[in-house]
Amino acid sequence: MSDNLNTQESPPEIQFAGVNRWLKENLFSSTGSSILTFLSVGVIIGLFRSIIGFFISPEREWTAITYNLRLYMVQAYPESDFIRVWITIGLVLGLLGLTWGFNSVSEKVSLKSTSTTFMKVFSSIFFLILIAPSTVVIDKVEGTEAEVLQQSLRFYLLGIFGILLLSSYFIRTRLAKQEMAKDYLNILYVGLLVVALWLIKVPTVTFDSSNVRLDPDPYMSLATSTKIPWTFLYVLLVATFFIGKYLSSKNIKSVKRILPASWLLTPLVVVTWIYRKPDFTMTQIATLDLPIIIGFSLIGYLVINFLNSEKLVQYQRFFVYGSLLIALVVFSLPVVRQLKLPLFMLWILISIAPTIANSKESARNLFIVWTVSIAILILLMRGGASESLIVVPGSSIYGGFALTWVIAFFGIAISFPFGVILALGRTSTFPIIRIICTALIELVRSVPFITWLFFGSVMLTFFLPSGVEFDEVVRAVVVTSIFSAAYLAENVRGGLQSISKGQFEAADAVGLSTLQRISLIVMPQALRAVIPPIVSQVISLFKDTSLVAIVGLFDLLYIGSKVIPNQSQGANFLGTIQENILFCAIFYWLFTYSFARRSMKIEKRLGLGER
Amino acid sequence: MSIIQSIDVKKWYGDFQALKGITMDIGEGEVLVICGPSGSGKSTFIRCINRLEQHQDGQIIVDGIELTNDLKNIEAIRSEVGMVFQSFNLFPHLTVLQNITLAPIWVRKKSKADAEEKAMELLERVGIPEQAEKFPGQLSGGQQQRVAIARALAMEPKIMLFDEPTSALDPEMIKEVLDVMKELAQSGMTMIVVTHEMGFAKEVADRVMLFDEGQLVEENTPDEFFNNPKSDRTKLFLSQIL
Amino acid sequence: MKNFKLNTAFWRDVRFLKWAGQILFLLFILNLIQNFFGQAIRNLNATNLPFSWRFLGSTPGIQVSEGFVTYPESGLQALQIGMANMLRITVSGIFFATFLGTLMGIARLSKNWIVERATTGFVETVRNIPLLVQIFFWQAVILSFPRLEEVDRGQHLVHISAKGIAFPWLDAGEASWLFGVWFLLSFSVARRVFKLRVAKLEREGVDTKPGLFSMGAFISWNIIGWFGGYKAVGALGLIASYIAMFFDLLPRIGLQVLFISLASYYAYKYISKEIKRTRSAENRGILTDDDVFRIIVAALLVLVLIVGLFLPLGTAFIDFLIGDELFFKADWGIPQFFDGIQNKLNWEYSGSPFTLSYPEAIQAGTSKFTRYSPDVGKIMSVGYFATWVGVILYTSVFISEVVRSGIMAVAKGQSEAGLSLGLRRRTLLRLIVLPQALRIMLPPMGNQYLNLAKNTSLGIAVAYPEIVAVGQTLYNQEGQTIAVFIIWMAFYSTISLTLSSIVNYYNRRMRIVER
Repeated sequence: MSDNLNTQESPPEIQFAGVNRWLKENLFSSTGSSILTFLSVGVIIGLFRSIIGFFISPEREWTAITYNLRLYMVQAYPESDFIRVWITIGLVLGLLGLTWGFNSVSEKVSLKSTSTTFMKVFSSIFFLILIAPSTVVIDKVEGTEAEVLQQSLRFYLLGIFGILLLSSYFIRTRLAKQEMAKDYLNILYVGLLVVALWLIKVPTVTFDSSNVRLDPDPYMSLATSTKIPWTFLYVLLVATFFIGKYLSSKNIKSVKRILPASWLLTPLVVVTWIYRKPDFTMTQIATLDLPIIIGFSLIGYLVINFLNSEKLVQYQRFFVYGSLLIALVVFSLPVVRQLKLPLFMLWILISIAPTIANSKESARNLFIVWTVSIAILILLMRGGASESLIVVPGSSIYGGFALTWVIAFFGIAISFPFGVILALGRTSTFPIIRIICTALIELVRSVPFITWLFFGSVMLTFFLPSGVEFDEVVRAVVVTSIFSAAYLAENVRGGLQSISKGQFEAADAVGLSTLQRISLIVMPQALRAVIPPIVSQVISLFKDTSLVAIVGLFDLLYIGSKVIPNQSQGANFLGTIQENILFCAIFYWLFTYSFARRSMKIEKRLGLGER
Repeated sequence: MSIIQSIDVKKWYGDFQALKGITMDIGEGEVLVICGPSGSGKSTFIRCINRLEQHQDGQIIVDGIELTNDLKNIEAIRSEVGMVFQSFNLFPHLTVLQNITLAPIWVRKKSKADAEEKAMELLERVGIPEQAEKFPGQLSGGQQQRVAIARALAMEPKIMLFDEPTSALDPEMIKEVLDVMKELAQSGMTMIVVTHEMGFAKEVADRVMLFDEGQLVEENTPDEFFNNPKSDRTKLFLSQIL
Repeated sequence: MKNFKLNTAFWRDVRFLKWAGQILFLLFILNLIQNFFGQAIRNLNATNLPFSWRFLGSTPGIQVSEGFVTYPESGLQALQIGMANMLRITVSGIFFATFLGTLMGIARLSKNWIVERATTGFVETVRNIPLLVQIFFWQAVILSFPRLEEVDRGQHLVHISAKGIAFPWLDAGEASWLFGVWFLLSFSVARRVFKLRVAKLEREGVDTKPGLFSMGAFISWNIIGWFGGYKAVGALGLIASYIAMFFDLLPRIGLQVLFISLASYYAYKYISKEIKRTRSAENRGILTDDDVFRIIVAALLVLVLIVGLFLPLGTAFIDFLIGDELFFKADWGIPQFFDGIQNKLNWEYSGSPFTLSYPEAIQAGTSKFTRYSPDVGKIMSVGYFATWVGVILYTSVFISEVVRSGIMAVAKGQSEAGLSLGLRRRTLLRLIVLPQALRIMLPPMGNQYLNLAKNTSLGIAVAYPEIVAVGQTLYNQEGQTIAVFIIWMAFYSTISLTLSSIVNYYNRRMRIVER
């Protein structure tokens, strides 16, 4: 490349103008600015001193969290079936690895930027150790103090981080041009986390043979009981990463479709088959489900092969509306559940088959897709409808973080189609439909989420036929999705309004029907335009799931604010509310912050919001 | 024999009357140019022909089908009549090829392969086969308008409507679009063109019409229209525009 | 329809199809609603607790931990306490969140590196933690303070304990309302002075220091008021008493008819105007937005208002609406309203309008416990504190985002234009950047205020008795869940409609200015 005639000048490299100039420009540009600088430095140091003091004060009982981590994650999920939880995590991590490997772009990062990051981290820690208080007040009334950080320990730590800081500075200056694959670096980071599980030792609550808690708590490694599964999962992640990379190098196209489908399917499989441990009765599967699967597969075969013929294609409209009508009628009839949804899917198949399956090969592909999805659907329904063999006394099998994500994921997933339909209704040209949709959206939105949760937990049963009762988690998911649908509808409406009138006219002019116009022209553009607001809505809904604690569901926050601070049996954690609330705060923060950062990066890469 | 018949067509927007009774006949293979000042109803009229707007009085008969509120008629008309817009209105989320094949696949129920073959033919005809895989946003205005013409032609319409196809274009791109339109006219397509391009009218049109305030003021052959107009309104219009 | 011809088969006519589809859909929805509510009524009748509004009139036998009354004598009053508590937190919350949010928004645009970083860090921390967690956090913070029993009894200036925060407060004297009106007037006086000075500045071209002068006017006006000037407001009270007398002379029924017809006339005018506006918009999708719904609710509100204010006439109608005995008191009405004003603004009142009192920790009755005296100072309860701080901080970070993006949206090009005209930075900000930024900021700001109002409902988690908490206590006692839910819905809808109409009003006004 060097012998190319490159007439374009590269921009001059920005020189670091020196510490003095930077300080002058950014901190002491004027008298006011200097005063502000000193003030804020004072406030920051004071704040961090008290925060650190709070964390390392001898009054804190951090074992309340380490001891209760399992409670936090899955609440009372029985020990004997714990393998199911690990399978769930393994499934997600495996998929994550595959996707990551398959989409890895072999991006390289220079050691310079990596070590700059390290320098930032190390210098922050260095700074924090420097300002950490050596004593804290433990009794506010008496004013007694306790020493929490010996000076020798402080110097020791300062020394360690000083060396780390210097070495990363050394790498930054000497090996600046070296590069490393970003993926391997990330694998290394995760590996370091797993190593930390084995190496770092913390006080751990332990009981002796007569069930008395040892005092003081012996030091044991970070995740005493779970370090082996975590290590195994790490290996799985790395292995699937390389499998994904291999698949992408082989250029297998179908993986591109299978991966998103599996992401959609995984949560369903988890809640119907894995987590619930359903009571699969083979006779029912053999006598009811299998015939239905085969039947629908055959119908699908007929539809795909005969609907395309010259004679029938002109009556397509009647087939489409007819099948929709049949599906609607059957839906309201008391027949087996396994028939209701497949009929709607058949309606979709009938509407798209003549267009998609116009060659032998595509007909075959469509038939395979059809059969597989019908089989999965019916088996999922079997899993969901069967009795769960897992019994948790007093509450649902979902608790802790598992409950949080179940409500968040299904709340959003279910709300999506309804939100889109509501948005379409609200922008429709039909006045009656528009008024109804508008009223619905506005009513739902004007009332706070918590009242809807009360509606779900106390009032929903009144509106259902007597005898029909839902699990409280299901009710929470239902109201969450109603609530989320209304907000989503407003976001989607924004997208719909951003589409110019010309697009509608052009779609009309080339002869598309209303349904085709919406699904082929309007929706793809509208949804693309509203990805950023939808992402922030998803984030805020994730945060809002914490409200189920108020109606008494055992989610992460309920466990942190009500359950653990009241534990007096065994290990005594009475009154550890501060520690637990802080843990919840940090936990939620990590999730929402990293999700927000990640999505911002993706949005930037897609160039959204800049059009 | 006439392919479009319009009898005393009237249209109101609220209290404002946009069309005050338009009566005309257009024969098969005829190229008709409509001009007139902005707000004269010329765009409204051709939009009534493929029912993007509904006329409220009078009759429009296209290819023997009267435009009414009959669902079936509307669908039939839409696939007989192609339309090219002033602002192109290409679908920005689809590639050029997908833009062209969309309607044949979903409306005409053609197979994808057939539709793509035909689309490539059309792109060849409008002179930009190499842009097939690009997105509309990556093309120049002139290229976009040519894609829009190809998109309309892909439905194999009997009539093409052009609503000021060159008004949104830079001067150097107008020619490439007009060339495509000339070629189309010479191939015997029935065309109604709303435009201010008088050169095009002189060269290609069979008839030229002038609209003003919702009325058909003058209807003439190009020669007569430009050299020897009947009405004073036409003279005034020509003096302003030329 | 000018060409309504039946020359097409009606089942293929788009107009027919359009309306038939819609009517079918409407019937479907109505059927759905009827099914749901029919089911609910059947279920409720089966549970021995049929739907009724009776609990609004009867004494609920509950205690509300704070509010204008602690032992409500009716269900309605209990709910009113909840509403008042909710509004208390909302109004002060909006005030402080706006202040704090604007400050942070500007700080995030600061050129000072450390200020910018610190604020951004704070914003990123607060916005990514669920509000409920934060409220619990603030509750835990205040509960970590010493218990009141361990504290010396006696007077304090400001005192924080696990019972809450106690601080000095202004106790209202009999002339407080008079002075309050005087104080409100001071804003318009200051504004007037400012405008006069600006006019002089423009006329004579010398710096007339409008800010300084208006500040001076504001302060001196209030000083005059404090030492007796407020008596002038008594004139208003006098006028009110004459109006009340006048209304007492009028026959009641005629008055009611007059007011009802006036109200209906204005409601009709408003609705028809809105409908006309809706009709004229030709664009698809953009027309009517939420107006239809607002009209319906506005009409319902007007109806309720009329019926509520002029009850004697409306008894039958209320019976019809509610199907139960009444819960509105008949002594509300125009004369009573003006009598009330006259009572508050009596020119004979004298003395200092407000006196400062300090909180005091006292012995609670004969028990050994200590508590704050309820008569002096002000006590901010734990629930109030946690909810208040929680919603303010949480909302203010979102407001800071609104302010930041609002200023950034105008700042660049417009500042350059302004600077090139030679305006000074302060003038530039006041005359060019802020008016435009405000216009951009207004709608999202309104959204944030609405969120704040809704978020106060989380007070229930820390036992702050706002409307949701009171409602819940009430239905636990009385079993009328659906009635309480309807009241919640009506209350919150009213709040959000009011807020959004205010925002819409300003939005429209600003847009008119623009054109």
